[in-house]
Amino acid sequence: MYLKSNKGAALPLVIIIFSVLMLFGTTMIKTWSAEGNIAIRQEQKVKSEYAAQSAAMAVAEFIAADDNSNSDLVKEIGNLSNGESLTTKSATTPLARSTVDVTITKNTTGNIEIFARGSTGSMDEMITVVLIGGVNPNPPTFDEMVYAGDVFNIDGVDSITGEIAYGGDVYDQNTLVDMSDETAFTDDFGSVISFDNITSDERIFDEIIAPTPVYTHTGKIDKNDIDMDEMQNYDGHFFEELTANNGDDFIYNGDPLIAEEFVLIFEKATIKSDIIFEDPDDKLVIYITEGGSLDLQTPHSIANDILILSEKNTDISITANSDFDGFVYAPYSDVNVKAPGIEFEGAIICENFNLANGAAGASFVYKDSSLLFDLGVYLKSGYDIHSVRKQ
Amino acid sequence: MNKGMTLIEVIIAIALLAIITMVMLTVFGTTIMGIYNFGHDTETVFDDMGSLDEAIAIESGGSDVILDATDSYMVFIFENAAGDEFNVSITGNMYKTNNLNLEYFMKKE
Repeated sequence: MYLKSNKGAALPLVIIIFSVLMLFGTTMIKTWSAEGNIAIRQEQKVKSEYAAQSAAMAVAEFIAADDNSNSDLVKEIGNLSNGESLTTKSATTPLARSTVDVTITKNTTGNIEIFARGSTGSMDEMITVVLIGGVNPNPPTFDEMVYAGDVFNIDGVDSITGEIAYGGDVYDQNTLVDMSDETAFTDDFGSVISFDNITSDERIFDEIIAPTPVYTHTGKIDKNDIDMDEMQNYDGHFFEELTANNGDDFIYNGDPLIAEEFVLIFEKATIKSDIIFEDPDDKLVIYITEGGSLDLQTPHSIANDILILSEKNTDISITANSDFDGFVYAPYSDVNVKAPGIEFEGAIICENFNLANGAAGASFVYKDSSLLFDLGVYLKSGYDIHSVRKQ
Repeated sequence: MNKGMTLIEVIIAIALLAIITMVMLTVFGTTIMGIYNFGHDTETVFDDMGSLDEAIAIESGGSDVILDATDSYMVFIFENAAGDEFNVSITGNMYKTNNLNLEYFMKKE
């Protein structure tokens, strides 16, 4: 033993042991504190992550949902230029103790990025959901007066202003026209007929979204049995089979409490009455369900726009006895138009088009369909969720 | 001359030792229990995440749900550069875990 004696050893020994214990205790307390912080922050982080994910996915699924293309938000997204954003001014969430902020941006490729930040306590978590637009998110515009995806038969008109496009055979009074001959139109069609242009074309059309009917009328119904005033207050009536006779007019009085477009959904309809709008801004949307038919014979001119939307395999017949403003969007259906001595202003998209005989003196005038599709109704917004990225 | 410690000195030493031991035991006990509990909490977070993720996956797949869902909604007011506001109300289901009340909102189809 190098110590000469044990005198005075106790105090240093106690101090050393006490120091070691203090050091050990301090370390334990620090570990405890760190572990606590980790647990609390972990819980906050997870809550923030779920809040961000909830908000991002909810907004993404809302935008991508088939039935939301008529929402103001989806329309505004369609109007965004690349690089522009919409940000949340406020968000009410049911996620207790968490808050979220969402930013919707149209990126440089035209896709939609939804950036959501969830915050709980001091912890923020961010998630980005990317929606890719499979279809043009902007309202479509018809580029031509008439497009027929398959058979295009013309019996005779005076003139057509605007391009005619066809995807199949073209007939002049049921005789096949050789469209490889550039002069075929002028030679083969009747002398009174003139077209601005004719092109061959194939295209894919936006899918139509069926409006949700507020009321359903089953069986055969006569227009005379319908309370028109009452009907106008509830947009979207489905009629299994409706007949409206001459004189029993559809009168839209422009009730400002509801939208400027009125929606009628038909499986089968025969309308021989007038459609009268008291407000020049009002529009009528006629939606025909798959396999259905529409026989529209209007006695007098219709100054307001009528949009006829059709599901597949329907039969649409329009007999305009006076000037007619309207658009037909029926890319997988037959459209038969009789227009003796009138002006048809609008555009027609169909699979089989037949311009019936007896239209001498009539003229078809192309009208910019974007005016009508500014409504943005019933065509898919066309977004699908592409990726979810945590940051 | 080597004198031994008096009884009083021994008693004081034992008392000090007892106090220090008590303090140390308390500190060590509390911290060890705390560390254990926080570790358990961390485990619970992961357990709850597992339950919630499983519920979300199952709900997305249309099968049975392991967590009860309650009707709920989220409301967002978006604003564009011009200051125009766009209001969106989304209805959905809220899933909540039993331990830590982790929540996930899922839009209804």
